[in-house]
Amino acid sequence: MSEKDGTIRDRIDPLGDRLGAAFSTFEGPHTFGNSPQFWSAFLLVIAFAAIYPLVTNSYALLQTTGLLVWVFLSLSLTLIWGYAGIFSFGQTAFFGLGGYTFGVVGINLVDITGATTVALIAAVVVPALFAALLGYFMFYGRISGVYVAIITLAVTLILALLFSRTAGSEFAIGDAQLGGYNGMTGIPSIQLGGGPLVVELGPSGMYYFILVLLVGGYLLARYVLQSDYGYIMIGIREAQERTEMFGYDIRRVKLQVFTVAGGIAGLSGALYASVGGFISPPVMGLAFAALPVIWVTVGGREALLGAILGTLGLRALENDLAASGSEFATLFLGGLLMIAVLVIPDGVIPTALRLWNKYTERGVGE
Amino acid sequence: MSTEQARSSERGSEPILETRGLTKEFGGLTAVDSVDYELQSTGIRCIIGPNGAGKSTFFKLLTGRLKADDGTILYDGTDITEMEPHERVRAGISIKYQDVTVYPDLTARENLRIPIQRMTDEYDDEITEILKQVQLHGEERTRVGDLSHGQQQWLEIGMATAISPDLLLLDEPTAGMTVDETKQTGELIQSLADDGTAVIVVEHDINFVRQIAETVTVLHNGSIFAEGPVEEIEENEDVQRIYLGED
Amino acid sequence: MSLLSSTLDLLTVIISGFGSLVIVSLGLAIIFGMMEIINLAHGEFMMVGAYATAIAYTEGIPLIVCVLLGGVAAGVMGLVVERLVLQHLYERPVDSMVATWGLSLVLIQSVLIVFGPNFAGVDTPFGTVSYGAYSASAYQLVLGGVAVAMLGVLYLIFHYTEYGLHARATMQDAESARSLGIDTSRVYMVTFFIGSVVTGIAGGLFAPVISIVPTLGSSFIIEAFVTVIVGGASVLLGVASGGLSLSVINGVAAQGVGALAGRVALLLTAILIIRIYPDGLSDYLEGRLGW
Repeated sequence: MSEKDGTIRDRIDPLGDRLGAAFSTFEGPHTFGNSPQFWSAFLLVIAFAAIYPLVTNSYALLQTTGLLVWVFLSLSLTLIWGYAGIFSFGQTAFFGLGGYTFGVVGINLVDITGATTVALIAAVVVPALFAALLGYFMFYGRISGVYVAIITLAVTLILALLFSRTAGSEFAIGDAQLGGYNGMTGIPSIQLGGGPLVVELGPSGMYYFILVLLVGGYLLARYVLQSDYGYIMIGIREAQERTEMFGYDIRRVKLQVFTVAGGIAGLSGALYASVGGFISPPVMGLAFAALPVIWVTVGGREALLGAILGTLGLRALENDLAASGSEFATLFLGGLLMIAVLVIPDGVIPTALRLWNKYTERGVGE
Repeated sequence: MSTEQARSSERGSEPILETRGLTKEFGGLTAVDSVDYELQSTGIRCIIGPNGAGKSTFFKLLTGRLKADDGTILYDGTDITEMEPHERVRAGISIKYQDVTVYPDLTARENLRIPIQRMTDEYDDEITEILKQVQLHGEERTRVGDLSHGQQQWLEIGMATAISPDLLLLDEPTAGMTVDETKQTGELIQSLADDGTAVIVVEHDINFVRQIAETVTVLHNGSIFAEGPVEEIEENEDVQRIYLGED
Repeated sequence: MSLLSSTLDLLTVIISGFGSLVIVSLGLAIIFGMMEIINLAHGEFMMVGAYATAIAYTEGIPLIVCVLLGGVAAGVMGLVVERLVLQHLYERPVDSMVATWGLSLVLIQSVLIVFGPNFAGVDTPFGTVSYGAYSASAYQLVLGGVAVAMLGVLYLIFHYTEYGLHARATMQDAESARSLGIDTSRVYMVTFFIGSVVTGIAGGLFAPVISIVPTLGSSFIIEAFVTVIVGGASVLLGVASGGLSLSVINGVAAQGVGALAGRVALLLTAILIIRIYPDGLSDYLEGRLGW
């Protein structure tokens, strides 16, 4: 009998069994999608995503890649907000830092090492360190809830302000000009490796690279979520003082999760910078800060899939509406947000899955 | 349960809990006023007192939820006054606060997993044991938010004991319970104490106190007003007066 | 520049800064203090007040009436928003942040669609005040006085009316207030109305000194939030203390270094104050002064 912490799964389908067994490390009562059907669909989607570059034109490929880079930003928010209950309004701060770090290190080192591997690593590490510092300040000061939102918002705004005053050639790190309000240009694309062995990622390469990171990250997140550590995170989200009184140092866990999320947001920024070749201060401003919150709220903050699909869907929608020159784009988005919060407060994906489960009558927690 | 027995015999004659001059003020109000409290290792002790006497505040000082303005707290001989709450828990203190706090969207089994997973990797059997003890064995896959108030209280008591504490603090464990549930809670607490855990219970229900307590401490205006066996306290006219003064 | 001139400059910046922060934050503080809702559309409520003021002004109505009309417009809008959307989101501070962010987008776009990117401005009254090398817009100084007046009026409302009594009881403990027979739902509604009116008036008061564009709210919202959070839960004391401390810091930094430094200093100070006094300055002051 397969009984994991109270959930029951179907036992009729042998292929499903094998799928179920293979994927059981990624399943837990708090991951969304715990059935052989889900994993079959998952594999199908991966298969389709794998052949996508072969069946589409280069413009569409670039558009899609441009959408995918934002997903990591939303995932970072889901990690801390959906899973550990920390509402950060300033993930864009780490996004921007990651982008700028990638730009600075990339521009300076690409001719020396022939690759941007170091830049990519730096773009994850620097925001993570900054997140660790900010996280220590907040969580060890026992600040939580709405105050974390305000502080993180203030931080991203400060960064946007500071970076926008870097116009002028004296604001350069090595060969990289920060560029003030207009931003940094000439950011190299991702070239992995170093020295003699360098792989330059063209459009398809970039797409696959991001896809691999995304799928890998998704599975890793699901694994963590059903582990002991994942349960501590959920405990913090649901009732942090109660969880603390079971002997967990919740300040440390929050710090760890916040730091990792900062690194992931930084990765997002680096990918964004390398795809567009450019980064500028508005990405850390008020308007952008709200975007991941909107995507994750509508998509579903407690579901990784919700973050992913919400981001892709809404960003694509925004682009389409902006391209058609409609003034109603933002109007629509705003209205959607209000309706989402009132009617589907858990987000589209979790609500849809809950309805699906009710319809097919599964057990608790799926 | 042999660990509990081993623990009891390990403890010397030192009190498991001692406070000296413990004080807490809020603005101009002194909630806990230089309290000297002592609890020997085993047994059940109750703390009673009119509303606003400082009982819950006292508990919060013990767990570290509130920082004391003055005084020391000694746990098993060690000064824990400056310790963080989670460190005190790891040292062996566990609490069930007044407002029932469980994880409503998780199952009973998952609720217990969270405290227990820190103690052992093989927690499935442990969880089953506790579920039996708190009479939730049949409800383990129910969403906890759907359980009755009394069941949630028991679950939380179970969770608080799942970390094998040496000192268990229960703040009004029978609040909102039926007469029957209250009696069963009393039996549950009694069996916990029999296993070697020291228990302090803050309570309003005098019948319940009579059922479980060996000694009773009466708090009034933040200080210890009286202390002694239940019968003695019940007959104490001064105690009756402070309660009447409340009404 | 002479020392006197510089000092007067600094004082002006602080007074007008104080006036600014208080006027802009008061409505937000009332709403946050009562319902713990973060209204991210706060700037847009100001914008509605400013537009109503500007529209009335083009009709030749005296400025002070225009400002009051701005308050009414924002108040009515607030009532609608509260009944339709916000009353379902009390005690969900994060969800209310998200929903009001959506509202702000809707408001900005609606105004843009209806009135276009610009609207006729409002003239600044009172001219300038000068003393030797020092000169300043009298209006900015007047706003400092208006801020104090607004604090005073709200104090009277909260302490000398029946609504005020119910409001303070509900703010302390909604549960107890309900058990005493207070209709907390109605208290919330009236409070949100008052907060919206105050914010609309704020928009009207600023109409003469800003350009009337749909996005005018966004330049105020950050400072408003920061002032409220720094000030803490006690509405009037919080806004006053938050406004004073932040305007002093901003003024000193702005005069000393530059406007950008002033802004950054303000934000940094806010972060520090929240860290040291998590319940805000008003909580600290109340403890210290024994209020």
